[in-house]
Amino acid sequence: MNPELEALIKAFIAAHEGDLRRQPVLMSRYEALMEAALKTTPGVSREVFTQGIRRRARAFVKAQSHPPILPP
Amino acid sequence: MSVTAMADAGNDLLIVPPNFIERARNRIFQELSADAEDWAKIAGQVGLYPWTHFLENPKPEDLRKHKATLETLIAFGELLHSATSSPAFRDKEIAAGVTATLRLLKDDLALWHGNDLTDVQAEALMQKCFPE
Repeated sequence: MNPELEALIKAFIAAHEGDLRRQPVLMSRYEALMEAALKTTPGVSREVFTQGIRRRARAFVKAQSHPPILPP
Repeated sequence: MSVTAMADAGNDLLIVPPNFIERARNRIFQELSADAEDWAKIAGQVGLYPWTHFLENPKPEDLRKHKATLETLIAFGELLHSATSSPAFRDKEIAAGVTATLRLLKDDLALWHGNDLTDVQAEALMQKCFPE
C-alpha cells in the first residue's frame, strides 16, 4: 500500500480515540496529511476525496492484519 | 404572577438576583462540557464501526443505521459548536475539541456514505494521489 495513504488512514483512525480534549492534537496530524493529499488533486473537494479513500479501506485493513515477514 | 401583582412589585422586577446569571451560566456550561465529552466518545466509536463491519458486503440496514447515527451526531455537534463558540464559554480546550470532532464526523459521513464517485472514478483518484 502507498505509504502516504497508509499514514493518512492511520492518522484518521487514530483521531477516533474519543478523547475530546486531545481531539485537536489528534486531528492536526490527520489534517496535515489530508491537506497535503488534497494539494495533489486541485479542484477535488475534501468530501469527494474522502470518498475515494473508501476504495482503499479494505486493502488497508488487510495489510495491517498481515505484518511483514521481515522485522523492521 | 398576575398582572396586578406585577404592577405592585414595581421596580423590583428590574433587579436580577445577585450572581444568578453567572451561576446559571456556569452550571449550563459545566453540563455542556460533560455532554460534549460523552458525545466525542460516542462519535469515536461510531466512526470506527465501519472499519470492522463495512469492509465485506455491509448490510444495507447497517449502512442506513450508521448514516442516520452520524447525521444525528453531526446535528448535535452543530448545537454544541454554536454554544461553545460563544465568547462567554471559557473552556477553549473543549471548544476546540468540539470543532475537531465535528470535522471528523463529517469526514466519516463522506467516507462511508458519500455517493459522488463511481468505483472507477474513486480508483482513478486514488491512483493519481497515491500510486501503488
